[in-house]
Amino acid sequence: MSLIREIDYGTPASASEAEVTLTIDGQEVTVPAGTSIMRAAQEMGTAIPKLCATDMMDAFGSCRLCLVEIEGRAGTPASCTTPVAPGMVVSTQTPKLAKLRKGVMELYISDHPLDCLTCAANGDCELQDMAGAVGLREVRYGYDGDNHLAEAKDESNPYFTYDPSKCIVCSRCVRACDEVQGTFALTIAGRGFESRVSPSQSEPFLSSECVSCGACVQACPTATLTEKSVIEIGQPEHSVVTTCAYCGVGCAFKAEMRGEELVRMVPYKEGPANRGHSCVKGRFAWGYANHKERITKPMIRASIDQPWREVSWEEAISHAASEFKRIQAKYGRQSVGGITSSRCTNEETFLVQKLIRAAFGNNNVDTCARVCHSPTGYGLKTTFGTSAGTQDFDSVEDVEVAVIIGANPTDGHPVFGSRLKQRLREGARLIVIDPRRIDLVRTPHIEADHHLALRPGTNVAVLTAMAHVIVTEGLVDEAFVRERCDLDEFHDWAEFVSQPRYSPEATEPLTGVPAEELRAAARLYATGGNAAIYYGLGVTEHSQGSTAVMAIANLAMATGNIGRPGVGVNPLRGQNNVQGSCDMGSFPHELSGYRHVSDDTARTMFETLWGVDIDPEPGLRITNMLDAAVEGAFKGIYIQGEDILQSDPNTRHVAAGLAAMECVVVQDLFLNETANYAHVFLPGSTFLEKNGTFTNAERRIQMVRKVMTPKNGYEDWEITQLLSNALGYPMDYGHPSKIMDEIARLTPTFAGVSFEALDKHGSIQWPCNEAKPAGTPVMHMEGFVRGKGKFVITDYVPTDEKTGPRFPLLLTTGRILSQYNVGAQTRRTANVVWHEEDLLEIHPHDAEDRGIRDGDWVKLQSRAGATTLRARVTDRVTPGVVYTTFHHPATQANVVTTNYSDWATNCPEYKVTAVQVAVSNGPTEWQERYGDQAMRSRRIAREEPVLEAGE
Amino acid sequence: MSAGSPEKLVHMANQIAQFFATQPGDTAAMRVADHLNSFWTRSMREAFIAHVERGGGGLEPAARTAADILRSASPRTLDREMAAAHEPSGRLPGDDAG
Repeated sequence: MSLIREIDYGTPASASEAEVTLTIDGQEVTVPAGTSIMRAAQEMGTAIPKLCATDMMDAFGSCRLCLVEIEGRAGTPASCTTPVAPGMVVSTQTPKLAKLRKGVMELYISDHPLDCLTCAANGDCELQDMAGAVGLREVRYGYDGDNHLAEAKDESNPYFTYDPSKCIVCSRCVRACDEVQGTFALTIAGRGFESRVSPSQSEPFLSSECVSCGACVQACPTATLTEKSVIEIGQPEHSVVTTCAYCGVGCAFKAEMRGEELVRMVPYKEGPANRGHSCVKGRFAWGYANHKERITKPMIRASIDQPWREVSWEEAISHAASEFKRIQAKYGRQSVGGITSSRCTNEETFLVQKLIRAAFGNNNVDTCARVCHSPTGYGLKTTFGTSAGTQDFDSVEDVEVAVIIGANPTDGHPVFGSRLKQRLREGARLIVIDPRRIDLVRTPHIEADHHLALRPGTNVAVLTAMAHVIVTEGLVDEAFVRERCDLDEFHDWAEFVSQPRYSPEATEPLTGVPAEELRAAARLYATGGNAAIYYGLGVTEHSQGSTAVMAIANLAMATGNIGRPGVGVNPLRGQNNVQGSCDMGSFPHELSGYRHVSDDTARTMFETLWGVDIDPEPGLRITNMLDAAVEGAFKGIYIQGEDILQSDPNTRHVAAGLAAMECVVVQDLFLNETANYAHVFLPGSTFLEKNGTFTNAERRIQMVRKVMTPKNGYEDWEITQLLSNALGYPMDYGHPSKIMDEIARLTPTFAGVSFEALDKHGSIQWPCNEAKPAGTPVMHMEGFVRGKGKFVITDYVPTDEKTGPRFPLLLTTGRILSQYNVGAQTRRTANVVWHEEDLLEIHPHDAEDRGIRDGDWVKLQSRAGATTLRARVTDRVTPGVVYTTFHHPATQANVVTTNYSDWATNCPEYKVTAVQVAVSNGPTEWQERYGDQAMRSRRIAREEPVLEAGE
Repeated sequence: MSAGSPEKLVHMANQIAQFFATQPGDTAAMRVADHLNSFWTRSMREAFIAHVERGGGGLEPAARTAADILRSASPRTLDREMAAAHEPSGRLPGDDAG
């Protein structure tokens, strides 16, 4: 293994299908039309010197180092800005060019520190490389003139340093922030000698608009922008390609190492989901793996009031197994179950559901998809026949109209958000359907054509009203519908949506969306060209979540926006492996590959291979497990990598359920909130410490590669295997690749998947089988999986969660860029500088009515409970709506959320809670009691000081 | 074990019934029963049936009829009836392109 060095071609690749042949340095080379001379030369193996050019950004032509001579043309044009032409004859090295290049380098070096030997970029500095490349031997200007060597460093950002004394003003950082990230936080202030990189208005990076994605650091050719980890540790010596463990985009990274020490994570340009970009979390926030609160030894205790006792692995596993056996003997086979992790690998998830089905002997297994995208599964399965998204992320490059509904990609799926912004800046149109003014509505160089700021809980009314417009105004793609869909069902649906009660005018009082705005948005979607819908939990986490997904599918079918790049129905899956978790049979009613447990053929295949009978009846969902626990019938649970006490709704009910159990086994990195109620703690491993695969929102299976020994001693799959063996069901996988081989044998859509195939192809999008050996980027191209697409009537049913005099406002929830989900990982990194606490966004009118000022403590009360947090007064939310995030356990945001859920899947209705907000002077009694219990529960009986709470 | 109070089961069944009642045809009750067979545990279904047999009220018509179907027809019988009515069962595979 050595450092993976990706070639930088200098300018982006051309997408042209026409080809041009030219001669460079006497060699004929053929490249796509529109390719720069620089790139053409690199493709044939000649590296023209460069400093301002890099292939993730358009050519800039400022450094004047990449000059070439072209036969028949005067002067010495820059090769980065000059496209190839047929018959062109280029020389990349002549005496004239050599002299000019040395002159350029002399100028640069005359105003640059000569501290290479102690510089963090030593060995990885393009300025150093170019000085060598051009044969620089002297700087005739000397070093006595004006210079920038005394400029102070900006070390405000926790992850990287900006040292202006080393800056050559190549503008790569500015262009990276513009073109790659799309935040436009950087500019060049001043002109000529005064030119300096300026974050926002020459502010420190941390207080500027910088979102710390690191694209500028990656682009910087010198030590000007350098990772602090590189400054501290030194240059890496080998790298391994792996996949990010944060969100569902699934960015590919090179983990750059020095021995087993991670130096930095650099986005992999070949990564098909991220194409060389990343966000602050994936690139920088991996320090949680070494955080002081990380637990590395197993622990047990007889009751949750006692401190933890560190024990050996053998004792912990043996105790857990004996407890599960005791409980099943006393309370019955159905009295135990488990929850798989959407953050662990496919192989690990498969083993957990296998343990539950084979060792526990029931189907009481569920996954966190229950509380996020389970309506996607139900809705898309019903309409299209498959429960996953239809496109890949590259599809955004062909989008002409993007609809973002119930999602906030610049915060929740940042790298996809950046790619979408690139497409929008190229001219694609944008419709945002969200109660809140998300950043995408209006951000540098981007403005939504339509922002439908609907009242929370009225998605189905808005979507059905859009369908009304499309049908009644004759905008249906009849050819597509006739060919690809069930015509009778279409006619029933068209008749339904055409009813006057679903006109935009009739729905406006319900939804709050002006009729004309909705009509215009519907017309744009239907007639604007390739139209794609991207949606998130603002669609699914509702009592009509599944209905809304089906309404989205109806719109896509009615307008023919399915089955090719640039269109489709795109659920933005939240977690790194929530898609995989669903694929692996984590639902209580399904085996891997979404086959129902009652399906005799499927079940027999599993029973034969596993050597056990499998229960043909659906098992308990998470919500059912908690209900059954409160009733005294469910007594033991094995939870891998999930924190239901913080993430699931109605915290009091979750706490009551956990407290009622006799054996709660938590396998995790930290003592999370759920562990407050645990009896056995099995320390888990991070994504850096295991081999396996994750499946992202594109159905793309990607490798996770181990770069360091697990600090806890075992990869997570090994722990599940130990537990299964102790329970009496033998498992003996020597390597995760063997688990994937078994998955492939049992799961038709994974039939062609293996670690070998993944190494060969880089990644594979399922279905991958004999018909599609390299996988399936875009689905339903020739026909729907179920045959004909199914139109489903989507009648609007108001939620049971009503506002009223006591609870006049509606609370909705979401995420923020710097924190991830329950914050277990990101709160234990430097990301806390950006989001130290969850805040309640409230409109100025509502704040004024209540005497609330920005920063005040406020009590947020619902019918379920109350909590206290600080207010942020903002017009991002409309009057009547308040908003918060759920990243910090002290906030207890889910104390106020209700038990209402989606009719089909029981996905909780997080997005609609009737609340009242009032000024408060401190935490609620529940928060104080919770905090005390958490503190007591985290005690570990050893000589070290008592562990503090997670924040 | 019912995994939910009768009130909760009734609420859930009513939500399901409310959806299927809006769909074309007169198969709402059958589809509600199929949904419960596909996604509820056996004990949840038994508790639901028991609630109805005890005269438990507050049920949407399709939910009440679904309880009768669950009591009288096995899941396999219901599968056949769904297929005959050209209605997709919730127990059909959900993803396989092969």
